[in-house]
Amino acid sequence: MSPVSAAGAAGEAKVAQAARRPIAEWPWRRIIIVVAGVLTAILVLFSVFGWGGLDELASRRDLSRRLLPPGTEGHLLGTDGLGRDTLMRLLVGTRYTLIIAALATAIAGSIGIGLGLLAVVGPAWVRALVGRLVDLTIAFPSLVLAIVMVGILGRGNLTLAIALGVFYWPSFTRVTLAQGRGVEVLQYVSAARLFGVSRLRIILFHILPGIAPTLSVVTAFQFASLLISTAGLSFLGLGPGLGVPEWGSMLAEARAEMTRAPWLLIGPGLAIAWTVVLANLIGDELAAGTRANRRSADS
Amino acid sequence: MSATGEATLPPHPRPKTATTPLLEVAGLHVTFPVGGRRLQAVRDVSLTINEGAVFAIVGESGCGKSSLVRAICGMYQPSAGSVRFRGIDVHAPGEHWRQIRRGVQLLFQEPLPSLNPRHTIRRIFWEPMQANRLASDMREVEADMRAQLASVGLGAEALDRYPRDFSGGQLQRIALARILLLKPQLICADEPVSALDVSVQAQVVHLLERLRVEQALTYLIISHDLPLVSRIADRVAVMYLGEVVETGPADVVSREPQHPYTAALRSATPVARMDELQRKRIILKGEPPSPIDPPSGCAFHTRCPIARARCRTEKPALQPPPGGGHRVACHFPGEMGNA
Amino acid sequence: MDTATAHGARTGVVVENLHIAHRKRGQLIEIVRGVSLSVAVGERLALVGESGTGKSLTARSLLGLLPPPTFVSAGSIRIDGIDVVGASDAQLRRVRGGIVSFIPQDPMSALNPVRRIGRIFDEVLVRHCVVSKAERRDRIAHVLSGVGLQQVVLERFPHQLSGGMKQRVLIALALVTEPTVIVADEPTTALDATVQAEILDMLSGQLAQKVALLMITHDLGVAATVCQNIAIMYGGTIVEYGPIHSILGAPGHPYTRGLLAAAPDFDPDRPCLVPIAGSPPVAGAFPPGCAFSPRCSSVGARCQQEPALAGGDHQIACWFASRS
Repeated sequence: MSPVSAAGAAGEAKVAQAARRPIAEWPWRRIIIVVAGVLTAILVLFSVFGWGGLDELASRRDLSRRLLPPGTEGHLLGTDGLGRDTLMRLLVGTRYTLIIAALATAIAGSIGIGLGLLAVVGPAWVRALVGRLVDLTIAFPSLVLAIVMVGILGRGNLTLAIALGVFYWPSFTRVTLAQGRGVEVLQYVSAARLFGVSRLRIILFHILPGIAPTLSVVTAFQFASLLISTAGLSFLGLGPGLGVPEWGSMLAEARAEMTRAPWLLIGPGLAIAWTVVLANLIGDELAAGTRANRRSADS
Repeated sequence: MSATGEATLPPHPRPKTATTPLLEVAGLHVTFPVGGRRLQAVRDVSLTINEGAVFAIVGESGCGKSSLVRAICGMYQPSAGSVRFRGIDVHAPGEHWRQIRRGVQLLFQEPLPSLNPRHTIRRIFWEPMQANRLASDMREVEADMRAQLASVGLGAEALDRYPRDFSGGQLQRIALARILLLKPQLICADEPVSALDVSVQAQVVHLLERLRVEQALTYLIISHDLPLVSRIADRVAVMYLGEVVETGPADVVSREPQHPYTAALRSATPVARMDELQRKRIILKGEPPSPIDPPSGCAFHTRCPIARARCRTEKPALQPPPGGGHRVACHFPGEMGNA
Repeated sequence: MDTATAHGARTGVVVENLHIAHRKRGQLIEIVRGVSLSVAVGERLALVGESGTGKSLTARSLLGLLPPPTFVSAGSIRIDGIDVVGASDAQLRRVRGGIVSFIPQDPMSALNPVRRIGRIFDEVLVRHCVVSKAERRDRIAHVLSGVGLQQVVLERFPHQLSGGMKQRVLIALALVTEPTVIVADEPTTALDATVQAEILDMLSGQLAQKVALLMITHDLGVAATVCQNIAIMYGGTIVEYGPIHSILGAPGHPYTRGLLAAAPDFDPDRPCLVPIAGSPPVAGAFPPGCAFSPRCSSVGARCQQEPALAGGDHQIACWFASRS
């Protein structure tokens, strides 16, 4: 990322430029994505740290008011088979689905980027070893492995995140290795090495900042795919457990009532789709930004 | 911030300050494995560089000049021979070399790629100083940084800028200042001006010369530019396919080349002067052979206009010709000389 | 349309008052500011200048190949009477590689690595309507022998050739369509001195006799070796224009004199490596008046205004040029 002073100056310039441009030429796509991203983030923060009454609302059962359609007074998205409010459950669900997916991404990223960097600066045999490890991990279907692992370790939020994280790291490693090798051969890295700068410093101050833009893109896409896997495993009953409003298990519960209340599928389905699409769009925008940066650096 | 024009170089600025050898290269070989075979980048090169001298290595791409300099800087391990800097073996493991490695610094051909675009000049300066434990805090060396910037003709405001804010000539000054902060004795410069505009080249050449005197430096310059070398270097070694084919005083070698390759190189260099244009050019056929499989005998015989049967079988030694003069590796020295 | 009609009137290239600019935040930034030049068939002109003087853009505009934000903002370019500036894309495609050929700077990346050389030649010729296989073979054989290459290179892939051989292939490719104009952008910068000498020899010899050659270079020595005429560019305009012997013998513009004195020279009795203070100006920040005035050693009040290129055969854009 560019340094603060330069970014600030560039930002000001951009604002000044936008003010003079006709509205039709504004980067609407980017504006919409940023607004949507910020709103979603606020929602997530609210449900995670916010109001304590949320849990209470989400778990309140009222068997007299079960399977209400969306739009019913007091229940914007209706109620489920036990009379619980769908909207409240979805909000509480962000805490599970998003957090598990984020945790899994963090685990996969740490393993993947760590191994990748090790391979970038390490001797040839380390590179070969990491390469084989990547091949080996990719050769097995990671979702099946994750299922096996949850089966062995038992269900739970953390278990699910770990099971997904330890099998989804190879794409991080591949990108780190490919991009890192590209940065590592740059002259400023050879110069640093020639000056006797330590390997750790070269990684932290030269290689990592050089590949950070690309890694952020990969992170966004990996998050999207891990979110689907999280919901998928919960749907299969390998998630946090029964009664917990994780989006995937909500879908599973809704399936049971599909003939009587098909709208129950809509809420969690849309929540998953919305988050995945948003993460992908953010990834696309980050990628576009990276390309633009590279172009301006070239010229 | 622009560089001030410096005084014109005298025709032969050769103050021979000392004759102590600073760097001694003896029988150096550098080889790289290439698909199971061996690429012989440097073959049996010996040279001595005295303190305060400007030594130039001239040759075309693939002649091994860059590998030689990188071996001297300790970046490559030689397969045979030795490099001694102030009497200490550069490639011997141990604390000795660690203590003096700071004394040999490499200046890259293109300054921009050698500077991290995300760092300010201050940080770029600080990194090697920190790595060499010259100070524990950046503030201690702030004055040094400013002084060194001034010595290369730039103002202190440059410290907070980024590499992209500078022109090519200014960047080469910054790269030079970064090295000078480490107080080296020997600077190895890989084509230090060839990436710069002609009008800026001369500025940097003058700067190098002034710094050499002011900061008691010795230069090892790699270049393909024979006219430039003839004006700025004391001594020159011409390399072809990993070997030194001719070596001696720079002005003599470039004005009266004894080896046919040097003569061709001199003739091939376009100089914008009417009398030079009217010269008959020596056009060499073909291109240098592969260093994986060098020719037998004299390595140059495949392209040499005066090659005879003997050149194909017998390798000429690098020695002064029978009539005296500088050392040349040719069976028929001077025959193609000043054509 | 076949190439024969295009060759009906081979007059070469005439550029008049060419301006090239790009827009930045609604402002027009001129990079090339009024360049006029002409190269007749059989003539070789070198456009000499440092980085950022607009020499490469001038050359690219001849092919209608300006990189996107830049465009011709004024002036005209006529090649064999065809106006390149106002030409449609279809017309430009016919001009490009047909009437005008291009020799690029970097031979390493200019050839498609997965095509054999013979196939590359065929593609170019077929695109220019040479459909008969026999004629293609004859033409290719002719240009290959002209650049001193054997027929076997046609079977090779680009990576199997050395840099010098690739550059010869590119020269042969430029010649094979029998163009009127060849634009060569720093054709030898990526090559070694001894290989460069060979290529320069080729460009200045018989090969380029039947075309108008416009060569872009930063090296006065290279320009002098190949061309009869030189145009020196500085700050987006031509500051000196004339026959090589006249410019080398009596350089009129202080910048030209500076360039000559800055270059290294074998002759120990001649002053050389004399620096020009400062650095070349960048587009968008050209100094007012004479663009060279901030670096010039002899400026006067009149230099606040931009001098026009004036003189007969040997033109100079300087208020203080001694014109006889």
